[in-house]
Amino acid sequence: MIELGFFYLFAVIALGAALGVILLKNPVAAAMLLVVTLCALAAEYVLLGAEFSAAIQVLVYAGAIVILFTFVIMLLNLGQEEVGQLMGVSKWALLFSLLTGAAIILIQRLSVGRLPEAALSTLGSDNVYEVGMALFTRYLWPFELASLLILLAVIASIVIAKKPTLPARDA
Amino acid sequence: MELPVLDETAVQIIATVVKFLVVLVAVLHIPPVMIWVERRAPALMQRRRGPNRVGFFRWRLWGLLQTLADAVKLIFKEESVPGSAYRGFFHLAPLIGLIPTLLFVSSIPFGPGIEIGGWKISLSVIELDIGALFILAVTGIGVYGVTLAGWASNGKFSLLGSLRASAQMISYEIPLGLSLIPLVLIYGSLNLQQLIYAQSVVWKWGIFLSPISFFIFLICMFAETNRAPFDLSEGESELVAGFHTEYGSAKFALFFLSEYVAMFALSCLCSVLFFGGWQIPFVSHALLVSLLGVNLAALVGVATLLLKAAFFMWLYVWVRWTLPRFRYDQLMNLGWKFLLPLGLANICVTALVLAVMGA
Repeated sequence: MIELGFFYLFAVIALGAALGVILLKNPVAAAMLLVVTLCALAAEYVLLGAEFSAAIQVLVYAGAIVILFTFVIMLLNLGQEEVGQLMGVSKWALLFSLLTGAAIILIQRLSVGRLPEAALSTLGSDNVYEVGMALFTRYLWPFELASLLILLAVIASIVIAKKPTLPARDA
Repeated sequence: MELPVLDETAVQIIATVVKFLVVLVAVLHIPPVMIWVERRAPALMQRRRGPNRVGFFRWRLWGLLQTLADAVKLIFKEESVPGSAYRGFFHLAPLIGLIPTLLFVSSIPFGPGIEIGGWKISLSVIELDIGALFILAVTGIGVYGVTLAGWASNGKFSLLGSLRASAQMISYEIPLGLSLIPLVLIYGSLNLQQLIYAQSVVWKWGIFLSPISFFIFLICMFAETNRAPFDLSEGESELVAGFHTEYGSAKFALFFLSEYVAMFALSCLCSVLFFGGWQIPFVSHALLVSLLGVNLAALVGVATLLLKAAFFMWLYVWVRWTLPRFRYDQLMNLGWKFLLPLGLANICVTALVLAVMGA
């Protein structure tokens, strides 16, 4: 009972903060609310018994990715005016996202009972062990492929970011 | 009066609240003592006397009251907010910096469990199976306090200081995390309490089984807290005071508090991971329990852990007054080009050795 109450509490926090992320004009405030959203989601994971995912969520998203967003925002030092120009939402984007959202809800409604229910209790008490076993036995190849993909992305971003060395000029 | 019947959940909730309050109050006492140490220790090293005047009549208590006077002064000082600051975040930043460090301390197992009225109560505020991961996650969040403080002050020194500090903290989190993995491989658990139980004998201590991890962890310990020789974030000759340049009075004291709490938490973690936690070397816990009973033995355990942590707190001060500050590029080179490959190699070698020994 208490757990259900907390689940809804964190759900409201996550949704409210997520709304703030897209509606606020101050980019740093938006980034901070993104952290709140991610942490509230992590709390939901804990309530669902997935402690490992919760810790990784906070560690990777809140602790590493959003801090880089914040870095960029701080370095660019966006003023209110520039943000205002960025904020103009095009009608097509609005239409597209509304349609996508409607489609997702429609698919979800139509598929009730046809898709298998999300299994909540497959994770035992030893979360890390279960995740590790699944990743390194049954899903080894997808896992390795995913890491290869990320490695490629890392190398590509280094290549893009690296300034081309100027050719030596002849005197 | 008959006490209402308590069930397990209620007892644990009450125990958690009480434990958290105890930790909170205890933690508040760290900065005054540490500031005293930090003034008297260099005095000792440099053949000076250090502060020794404040006191009542003839009792001067070796200058201990000086920090009390400082704390009173800080709290009653006028608070100033720069006109161009982003006010909300300016006020929030010290708190955002403090909360993760408090969570960090809360997850440290200070001793074996105690028993009150038949209920078993563990001596960490929040005991988690994923304790080590939780600590890494929480240190990741800890960066925001520094980042926000510098940005919200809206000044050059503050911004540069906070950029330096947060870049440094992010960079050194990675080797810090990598240095924990060999220990997790060796002891087979992320639960800090179980890590301690696995180090029951001295030769099984983390420092002997994985000395390179200890080496990396020790360096990261200094870098994570922005302490000398890695205190570039507040290099006073370049940046006045770094990210907290614009902060005064109680908010400045909060930054101080979170810095010292973080130092204390990392010192505790170091003792837990590499020095057997609350266990006294060469004395088995079972023997202590048979001699003193469960609760007294637990208290002895807490004292042992605090002593071990106190050594690392001393080490912080010792190093600060011994080594000169790094240059920023040296700091980044050390983190990314030396500690990161070393940490990865350490994991591979440990895993290989474990696999060979297991086979």
